[in-house]
Amino acid sequence: MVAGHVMGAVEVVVPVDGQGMDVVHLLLGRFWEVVTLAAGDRALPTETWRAEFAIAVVEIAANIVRYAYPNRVDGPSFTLALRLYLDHIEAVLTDEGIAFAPPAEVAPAAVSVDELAVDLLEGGYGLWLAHSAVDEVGHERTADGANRWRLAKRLPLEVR
Amino acid sequence: MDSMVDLDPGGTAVIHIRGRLDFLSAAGARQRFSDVIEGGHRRLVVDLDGLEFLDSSGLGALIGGLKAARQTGGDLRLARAPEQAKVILSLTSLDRVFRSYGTVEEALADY
Repeated sequence: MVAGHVMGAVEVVVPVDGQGMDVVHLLLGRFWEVVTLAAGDRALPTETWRAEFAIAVVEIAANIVRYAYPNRVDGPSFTLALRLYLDHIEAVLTDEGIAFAPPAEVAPAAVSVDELAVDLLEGGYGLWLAHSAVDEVGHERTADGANRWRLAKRLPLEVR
Repeated sequence: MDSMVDLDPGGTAVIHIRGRLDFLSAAGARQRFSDVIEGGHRRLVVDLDGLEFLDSSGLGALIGGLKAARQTGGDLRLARAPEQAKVILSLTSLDRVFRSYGTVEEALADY
């Protein structure tokens, strides 16, 4: 994917509280408006394609809201940036919570419906879903002690 | 998330979901399914027409409800699933586990 020129972007600080996910969904809605405006002659991404991107963003965001700040202090939050490039879109989520420890295997191995239900309810499938839904999922611990997630999905290239 | 339940004396129940079924509402939804099943209604149809978003935790609640319903000889079926719900069901291959219908009426008629 070509990094290049940002064609559209939205960014927000998401509170880690009961309203956080409302903010995430609102920002996604706003971003699709931006993508539509910037589309020009190009075909808009399909509903399915947009749903896949949203699923990945929501799973990572949910993990941050649920697990990044186990010892809450004043106003924990994370930033969510959604950016449109010529050939892909990306989401960057940055939080200053506890270091994320990637699971040994990305796919949880549920062997029964009970385990499957529990895994799903606890967000155990979140990372696996993100990998399935978009093209790139990356996490790094930055020099100043933040977690930075980057999700990227290639845009369809058809012209209308 | 809100849910409204229509109970039928014949043992079916339609649970209408509105809003997001996600990690914040999954436990409540799971409880709703349990209550309906324990009340003797084992053939469930979950009407997803008002569903705004379904995340993996919401899927967990549906799977839990499915299991509980099938254990009593019933089932939990989905109706009017919006596109995003279909996508997450497909990504997890859980679209092969749930029976899904275009309308509530078709789901009920198939019981």
